[in-house]
Amino acid sequence: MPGLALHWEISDDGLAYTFHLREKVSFHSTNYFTPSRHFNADDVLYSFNRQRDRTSPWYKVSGGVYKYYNDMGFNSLIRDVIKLDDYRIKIVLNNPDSPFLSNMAMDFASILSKEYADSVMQAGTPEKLDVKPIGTGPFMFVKYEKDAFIRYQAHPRYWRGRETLDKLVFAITVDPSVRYARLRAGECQVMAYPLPTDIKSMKKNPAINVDEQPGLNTAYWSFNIRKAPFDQLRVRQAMNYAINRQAILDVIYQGTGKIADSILPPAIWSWKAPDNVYVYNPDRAKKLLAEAGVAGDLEIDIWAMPVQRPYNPNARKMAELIQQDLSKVGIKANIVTYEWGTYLKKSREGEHQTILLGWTGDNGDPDNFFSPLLSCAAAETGNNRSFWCNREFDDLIALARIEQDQAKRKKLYRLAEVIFKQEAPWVTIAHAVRYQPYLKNVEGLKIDPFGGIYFSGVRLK
Amino acid sequence: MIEIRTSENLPDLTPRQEVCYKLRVNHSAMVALFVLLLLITGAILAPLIAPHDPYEQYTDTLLAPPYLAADSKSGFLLGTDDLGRDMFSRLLYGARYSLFLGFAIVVFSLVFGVMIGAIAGMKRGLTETVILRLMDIMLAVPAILLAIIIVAILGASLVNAALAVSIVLLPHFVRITRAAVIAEMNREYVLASQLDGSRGWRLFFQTILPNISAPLIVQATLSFSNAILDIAALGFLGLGAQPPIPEWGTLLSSSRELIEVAPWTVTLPGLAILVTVLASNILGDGLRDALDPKVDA
Amino acid sequence: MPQLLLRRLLLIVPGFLGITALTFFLIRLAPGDPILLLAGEHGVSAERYEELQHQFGFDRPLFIQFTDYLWQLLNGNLGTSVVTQTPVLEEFGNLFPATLELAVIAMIIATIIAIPAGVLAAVKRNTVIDHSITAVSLVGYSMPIFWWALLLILLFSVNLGWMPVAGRLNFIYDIQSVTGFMLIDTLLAGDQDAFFDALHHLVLPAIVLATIPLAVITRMTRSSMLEVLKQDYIRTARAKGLSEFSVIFKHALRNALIPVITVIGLQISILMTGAILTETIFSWPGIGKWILEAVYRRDYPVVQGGVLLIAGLVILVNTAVDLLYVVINPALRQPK
Repeated sequence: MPGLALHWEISDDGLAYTFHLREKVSFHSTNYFTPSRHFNADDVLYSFNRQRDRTSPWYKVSGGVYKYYNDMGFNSLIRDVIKLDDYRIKIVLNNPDSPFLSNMAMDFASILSKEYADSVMQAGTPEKLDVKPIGTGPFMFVKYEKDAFIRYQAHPRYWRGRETLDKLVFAITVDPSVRYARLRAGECQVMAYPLPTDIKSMKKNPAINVDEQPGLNTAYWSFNIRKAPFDQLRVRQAMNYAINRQAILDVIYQGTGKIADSILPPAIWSWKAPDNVYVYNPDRAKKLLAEAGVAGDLEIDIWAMPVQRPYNPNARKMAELIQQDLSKVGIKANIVTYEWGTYLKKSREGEHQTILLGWTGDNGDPDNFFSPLLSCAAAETGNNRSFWCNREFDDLIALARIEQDQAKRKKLYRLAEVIFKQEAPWVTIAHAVRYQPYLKNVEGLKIDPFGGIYFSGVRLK
Repeated sequence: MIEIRTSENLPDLTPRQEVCYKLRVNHSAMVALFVLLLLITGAILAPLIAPHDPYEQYTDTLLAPPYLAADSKSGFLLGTDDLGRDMFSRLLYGARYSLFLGFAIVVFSLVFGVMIGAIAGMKRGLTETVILRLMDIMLAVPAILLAIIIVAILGASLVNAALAVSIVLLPHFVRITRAAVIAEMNREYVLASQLDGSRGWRLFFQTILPNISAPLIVQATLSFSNAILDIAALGFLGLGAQPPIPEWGTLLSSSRELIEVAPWTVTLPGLAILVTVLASNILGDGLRDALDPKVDA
Repeated sequence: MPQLLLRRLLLIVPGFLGITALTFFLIRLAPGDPILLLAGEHGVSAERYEELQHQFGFDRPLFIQFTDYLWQLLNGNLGTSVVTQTPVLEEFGNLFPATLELAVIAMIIATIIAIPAGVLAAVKRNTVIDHSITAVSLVGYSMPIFWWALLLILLFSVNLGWMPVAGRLNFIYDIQSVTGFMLIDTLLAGDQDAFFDALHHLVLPAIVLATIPLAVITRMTRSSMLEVLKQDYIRTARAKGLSEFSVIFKHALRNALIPVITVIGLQISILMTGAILTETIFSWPGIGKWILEAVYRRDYPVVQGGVLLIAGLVILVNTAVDLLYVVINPALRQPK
């Protein structure tokens, strides 16, 4: 869908993309920055180079880590970004890449104002670029107070036209039951991430609408294969047999959602029900453990995140269920948890033995599940929490990335998935349903399948 | 500052009999004692009394309401939690953690507090000053905050939380003992036994300790209730016992979001904490009245 | 008197020093590499690691590091938050008014209920009124306040819908922060609705925070009153035929209040403990919640600096209360 790029051309070899940019697009004009010109190719060039060019003074400003840029493989994929004229930009790739356009639609490829960047750099406060952002979107930043709120205001010169909603406030509310109470009290109109246990009561409430959509997500339990005993295939397979996923679905997801047998959620086009699935079978698990020679006195850690995620409403409770399942096959499991940021960091560094985590698709392309989560490159960055690097699997998903033909891509992903199932670096647990509660006086709210909520076009009755 | 008034003894009662008598006529203290004994018995006999395994998940009866609720036919006396575990059994096993830990914590702080206090009281001089300053510092940091820091350093677990709480409770015992020792040192019986040649620890254990046991007993009872509260608070903040251990504070924290859907998962553990703490506070008050030490610490 | 003041103030110094040492060494004892902790979520490269180690001075002896830290403190530098990159002192300054506002309101609630209740219990000794007041204050004293908060929220916010669930102010109001005290800021902004909204948000957390001080002050007032009522001058006053009202409120209460005021002052430590729990439950953006989150996030400069500030505050208030006690009670003007 065209946005800032009006249209684009792809060279025959699939290596060069020429984007034609929209003209007369205004940046936000706020009390901390007044733009003097419209959006143009310089801004696009700047927005890519700050993530791409390690020698740029901007590279280090945001910590020098561009997680998404790297996880999507842009660092090795993009050879060059060239400004052709003020409204044409050419991006040259090292190799053809099917998901490239989908990835370009992600948040990390948003365009920042080069003029603003220059002005904050000149003022000696480059970090303002991150904390007081300037962009071209429908709402502009007003104020942020940590753990309290973010205030936005309609962008009067938004290129699609000014929003009817004048002010937008994100009231940061960590506790889901408090969020629900706030919604009911009318303190806010839209609520993110409801608890599955509350859905029933929300649907009964005459003042509240609940939209739902099959979630573009997968919850999984990942094994760090660098740590014993999960370096042993049989142990990983045993885990797949030991866990009663139906019970997890009933208890944690309150019967909503689907048991996950694939890495991909069913809403992705290349999904097809896999043939070789693990069925709950504790006896088989015990046998595999015995064959692996670890039966009897095995004690493991399960990391469970402290926060509710779209794919997992309550990881700690889920860990307790798993713990109970494991005790039935003679494994003693300890539940470990850290504050969310620490949790992600420590697991990225591979401190965990096993970890509960999940993924919400960013762009609807199947590669967005395979490459960031299970590729060898991701094992290096640590986003592949299993640190599982299987050459055969890696080659298949690399081929699928280059392949332009959908049917052929689908086949490649299916082959990759067979290897994944056999090697069992994860237990795939569930795909959660996305629920979106809001008050009945809200009109035009759309669920973003990739995780967020669209406030563009929303009206209050 | 300690004074033990012994003058009002009834003529034909030994001091111990007098205490028992005073305590027995204090009805609320007797009720509190009874409640505590009941809880302790329940905790000890938990494996025999509990109708279910506290960890067993009956996944087809999630969030069953308590038996007394009108629409309940589940057979779970106090209902089940969101993983289908029997609340009654969990609370009963939870009593083991809360009571046993409360007891262990008090013993720990009592033993170390008395030792440190005795050293301060007998050595005097620089040792005393250093010990007292250190205790002042510990008292200046709010108890839960100090415990949180200790847990943050040692890692969140039941044992570490217990250790943290015992350290937090320590200064009270140190100050009481020190003050008592200094007061007792000047008394005739101590001076007499010093002439006898008994020295140091022997002197302390044989002659001083029995005479300062009253304020220590009162402080121990009050510390017991503090210990239970603090352990529960740490559990509630996720810094104490980790799930699925059914420690009462941990039960509360993991059911917090269920307060509307299943209020009993929140009200019952809190009630258990309140009743236990209340009972030991009433007993502590009763003991204070009966033993009548003037404690200023 | 000035001599006493000096003596007390001098005693603060070793107290502060001790707390600094305690927090400093406790945190250095923590397992895990301080640099990796300080580096936060992004991690560091090997060369940057050495650079940082040098920069923070972790490659020097612990004692030198400590004296350095003390020197920094003397210059008013308490370090910088790892998470927000804001100086600790600045964060404390921004959040402290929220805690203070809550604590002041809580103490007002506690005092205006507790003192009359304590007096009443003492005057009506051994009646039903006395027994009920004593029983209620015992329950309050034994209350796990985190549970109490949840019950109040369930009843007043969720079921009855009378009270807001969390926070300091409804988000429809955008009030410029001047003093940091929401009640004052809303008045300065001239927004009456916002003022009442702020007051409304204060009710439940203040009640929760007031619970334990309320119980303690009631008990103290009662026993202090009982002690005073036994005194000779009260008997004399009664014998002179003064009205019971005048005996109690003019003569007895005035003297009974001396120890009560001390107790009120000493509640600061309890209030800080309570603030951690109350602020967490009510999403109240104060220092209790701040320091707890810093612990969760392993933001050690904040933990270290925050504990130091809170403990320092407790010591200061306690010293002030001690002095006040001496001022209102001339009999004690002898150094101990």
